[in-house]
Amino acid sequence: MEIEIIRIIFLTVVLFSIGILGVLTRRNIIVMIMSVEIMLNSVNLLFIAFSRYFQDLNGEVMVLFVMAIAAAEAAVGLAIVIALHRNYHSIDIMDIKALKE
Amino acid sequence: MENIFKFQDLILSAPQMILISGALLILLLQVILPGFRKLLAFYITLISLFASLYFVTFGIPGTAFYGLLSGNPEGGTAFQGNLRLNGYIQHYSFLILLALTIILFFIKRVFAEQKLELAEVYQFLLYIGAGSIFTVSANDLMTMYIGLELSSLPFFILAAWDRGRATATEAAVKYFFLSTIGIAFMLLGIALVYGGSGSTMLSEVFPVVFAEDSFSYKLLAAGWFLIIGGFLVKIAVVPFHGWVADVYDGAPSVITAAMASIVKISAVGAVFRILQFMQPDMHMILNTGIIIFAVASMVYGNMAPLNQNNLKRVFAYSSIAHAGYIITMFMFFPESFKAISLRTEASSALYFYILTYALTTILAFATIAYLENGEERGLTFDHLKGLSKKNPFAAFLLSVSALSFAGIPPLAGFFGKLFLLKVLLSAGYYYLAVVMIVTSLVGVYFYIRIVFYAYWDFEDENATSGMLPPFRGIFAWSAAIVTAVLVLGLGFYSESIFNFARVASELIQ
Repeated sequence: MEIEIIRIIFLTVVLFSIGILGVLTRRNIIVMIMSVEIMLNSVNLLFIAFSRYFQDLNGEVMVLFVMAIAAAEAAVGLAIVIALHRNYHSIDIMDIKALKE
Repeated sequence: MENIFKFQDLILSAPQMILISGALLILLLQVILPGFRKLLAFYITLISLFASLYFVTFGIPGTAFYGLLSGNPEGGTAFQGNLRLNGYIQHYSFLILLALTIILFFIKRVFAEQKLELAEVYQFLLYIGAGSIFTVSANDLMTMYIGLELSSLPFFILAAWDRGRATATEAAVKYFFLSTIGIAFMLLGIALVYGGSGSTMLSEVFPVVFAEDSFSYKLLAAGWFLIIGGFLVKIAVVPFHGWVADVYDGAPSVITAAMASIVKISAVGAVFRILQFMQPDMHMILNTGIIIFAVASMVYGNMAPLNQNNLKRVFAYSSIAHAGYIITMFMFFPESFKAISLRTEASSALYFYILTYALTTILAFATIAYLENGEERGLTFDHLKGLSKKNPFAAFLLSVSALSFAGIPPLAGFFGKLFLLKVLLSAGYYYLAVVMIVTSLVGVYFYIRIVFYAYWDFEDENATSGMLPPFRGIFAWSAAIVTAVLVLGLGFYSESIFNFARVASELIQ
């Protein structure tokens, strides 16, 4: 059964917005990194949908690249969070405001 | 199955390949040589950068890889059309490598003094260089995305390099989130462009013709705007500027120099290239946005630092203002004025401006890096009091960069602004030119204030003595002198550089 492409675009936009809202409203940095991952994975979904729609492999190759880079990004992000926790003893974004003073 | 890998491809992507092999060599030697020293990593980096610079400038004789000086802006494509090589891209590659080499000299000295020097720093610099060149030379949105990530991931790490300092880690986490969100939006844009046209290759997307109100046209338009928006986050124009002051302030100053120059060079080069592939009627919508963003950046970037006391923040805000000047050149594309010559003028004016901007920024932030020397929070104006007596060389460098930013005539920054104004006026954007002149006149106030504090005799000038060390290190000295001479002297050769860049700008696609 084929699903209409517009529905997948709609699903992608919803997932992407959930990711943005997560980054904007959550205070825990690790949850924020997870929200960024949701954004990237929603785009992956769109790539796969278009790839199937066009019967073209380019989109699926792109997904593999995005997944690899998202993993690298998460590794770097978590490393920064560890360094941050050593300095602030907190990973709450509201506590991290040394630059604002 | 036909052989899809050709040796020709490696030659056409020689600069990137040299940088990547240098980085991998450092990685390998660290494992197999027990007593691996940082100095060896530094020299491997230096040799890779110089080799790339040499090939970019002179080309590889007997192959299709033409250098800056050997002409032929036509170039070619490599890796099944994934990478493009032409005169325009060579110009930007040259600029990225030049900026990286200067920054390498500064980083060597500053990080050695702050006990932060590890072999990995140099490796990351090489990745940044390769990623930036990939971004500019990509002919496929997929390659562009990977190049962009390759150049941003090392910056997250380098921003937090001084990891015992709270502000550095805070800057890193802010840069991480803003950059990843910007790239996520760009990725969504790439997906929509792919959905609208069925291809991610720039040269295949461009010729597709659509009905104005078709569904694929809307997908494509949304996709292009998201991609441009993602790049504007990197260039830091006003609606996307929130991170700039904090990140530039918190990161180590030499890394700030790299962030403010290299990221912008590659993003500007890539955007101007991508804009040439956009369908003409989308430009009309985009131009309105660009005018609004440009005016907002000019006003905000020149007003915000007026009551700012932290030097790094002053330069961070001024980089927003300069981003505003830069993006005015994004309004010119082939069909807009029926004359390709204006697009060419805009391209070479943009190149000269970004050249002077990058050199001046590196000079400013590198000088600040020397002066602060591990202070917890950055320099303020009070620290500058009596600088001309304690450290005349640093006072001179800081004044040169401030005056060049302000656009005082014999310096390079003035000629950069002059070219931009010339293009804007000949295209008929009079009000934009007026806004540009007025806002940069406002900006002169805080640039002159820097020079004033550095050279004026104050009563209480010994209040902060002992904090400012003299300029040290042969590499840093030579890099500082070369950069200062370039900032002072480029203006006199501005016309020939402008004409030289114009030849390459004939063919951007």
